[in-house]
Amino acid sequence: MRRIYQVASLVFLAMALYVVWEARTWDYMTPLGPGPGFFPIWMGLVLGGLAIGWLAQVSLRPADPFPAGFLPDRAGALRLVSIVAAMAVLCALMDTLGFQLTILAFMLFLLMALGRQNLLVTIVISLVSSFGTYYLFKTWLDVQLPASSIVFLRNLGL
Amino acid sequence: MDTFQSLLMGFSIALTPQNLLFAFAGSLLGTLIGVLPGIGPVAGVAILIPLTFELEPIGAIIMLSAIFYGTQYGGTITSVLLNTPGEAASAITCIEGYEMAKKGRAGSALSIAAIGSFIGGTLSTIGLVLAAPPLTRLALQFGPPEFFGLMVLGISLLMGLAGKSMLKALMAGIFGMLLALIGMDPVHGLPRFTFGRMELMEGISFVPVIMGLFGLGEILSNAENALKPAFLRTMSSLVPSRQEARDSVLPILRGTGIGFGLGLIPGMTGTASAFLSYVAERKSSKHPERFGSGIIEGVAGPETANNAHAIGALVPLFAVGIPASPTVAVLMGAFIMNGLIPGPYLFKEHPDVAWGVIASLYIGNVMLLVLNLPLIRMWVKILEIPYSILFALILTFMVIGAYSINNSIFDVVTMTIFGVVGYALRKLDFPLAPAVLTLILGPMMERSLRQSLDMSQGDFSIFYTRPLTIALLAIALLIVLSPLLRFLRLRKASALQGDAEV
Repeated sequence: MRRIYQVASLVFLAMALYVVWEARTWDYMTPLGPGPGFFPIWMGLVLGGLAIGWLAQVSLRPADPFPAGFLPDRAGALRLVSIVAAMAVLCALMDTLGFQLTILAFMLFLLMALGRQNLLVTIVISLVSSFGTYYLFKTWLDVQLPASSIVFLRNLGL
Repeated sequence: MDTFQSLLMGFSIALTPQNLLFAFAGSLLGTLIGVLPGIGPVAGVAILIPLTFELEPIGAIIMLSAIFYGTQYGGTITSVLLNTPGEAASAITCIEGYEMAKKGRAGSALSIAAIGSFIGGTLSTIGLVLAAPPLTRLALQFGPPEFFGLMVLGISLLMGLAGKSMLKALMAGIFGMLLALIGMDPVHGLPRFTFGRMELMEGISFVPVIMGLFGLGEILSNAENALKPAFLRTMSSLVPSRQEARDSVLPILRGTGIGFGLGLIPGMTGTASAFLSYVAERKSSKHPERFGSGIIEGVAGPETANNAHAIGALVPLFAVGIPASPTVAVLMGAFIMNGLIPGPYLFKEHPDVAWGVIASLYIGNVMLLVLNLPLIRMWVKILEIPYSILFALILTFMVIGAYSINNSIFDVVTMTIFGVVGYALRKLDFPLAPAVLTLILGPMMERSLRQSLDMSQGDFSIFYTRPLTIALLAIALLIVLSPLLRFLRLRKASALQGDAEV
């Protein structure tokens, strides 16, 4: 557990260093008072100090094992990675395939692979949450959801 | 215009058919958010903000406020029937509520909780009406240094209560503050931390960040465990016995006082109010040994307290523009998105919004009571939908919510990234509340700091020559340093214990 905390504190320290490094090029003080660099420099310095404090705190105490449930089991890790990957693929495809097809694929994957629902339930819920939601939001709430950038699909209303 | 006339004007606005509809929709959606396990009020309000984009500001705020206090009602249902709190403030209700459900008295527990929530919410709204105007007049005397001091105090109070480690709370707070710095500098217009992306020039949208940290982060945490259906207790008659009604009177009144009082203090959460109310009930009971076996006082007190707290927490927001809790901070963000700045000037410049929203709190509480008791069986039906389906639907709704903020996939990417960050911070035991508060207060804090130093031409003595600013900053410093002082006192005490002379 100690190693994880050490790595996390170093990530915070790196973030603090980046903030200070970036902010040093901006005016710290101007004739009108504090400049754009004033607040970020102080925030970066305080975060850096706290990160060093945390690093020292965790490094000085004896190594301890992971608390129960800290690491997910294999199935849990797979579910976790699947959701993040599905979200990443959704972000990548949304502008190309449009909302309806992307959400249809997204829901089919989540319900079949992770939810282990039967085929009929999966198809009905996926269709309602993709095509149904698109229609509902566009017609009733005037929310414009993305259409496909592929002309053929766009002509089909997707 | 005196307070009573202002309130009447508020009612004339809140009672228009469309505002009644928004209060109704908000109450229902809030209850739904509260009912759904794994999605708390912070993420719930953030997810539903995009629904209000097409509305007039007053309608939007009425709906979002109703969502906010509606979550407190909904959270009880899962606590009693599933032994799983729909939101944290109802966690303590699991102890007595679920025991009552096991004995076939779930209906009584839910009825008393709804009645207590109604009484707590209504009495607290009266408190809000009485407390907000004088506080507002006081706040109008504040200059930028006092506002800076007040914001520092608010943030430090939250950090002091936000978990086991002050160090982590401070780091989370600064993390939120750094996110708030992204975008154009408010005074000089210089882009900061934008990585050359046009989407970041206006700053990072707080809605996808909060959806990610709280909503997606929570879903990822839940996904670690198998998505099994929960064991649902069956419902019984909703009518409580005469004895149960009698036993609930004093806990409801005490819960109102505790919830409203603690709600006024920035940093106190509804969970703390509910917990304190439970402890107060056990201490004042003639039969403390019966607590834990399904006793109505343990449901009535905490459930009243968390609703009274929700309304009490709106006092600092309306009076001085300081959010007292993360959910209120999100609500404050919604005000800002609608071009309204909560605080003393809201009553002066937009009295229709301020009093309209306050009047809608009364109406919303009545709606929740009238609607929710007969609808409890419908909420129970929703709980029967497997979580493996619910989580996929919630994810889809979050995607729509994030996308519709700027009609850009960039916000969905932001939400995904912050979902992973939220999951990691949860694993590392970081409190997320300070990050939300500073994300929303950060720009205001920077502006008041820079305005103060502008006033003094860069002289920092402005912060220690004005009595109120000194007092506010000194209290904040004391709170931030309190863990260190406690640590030093403990060391001294242990040294004394080792001394044979003592």
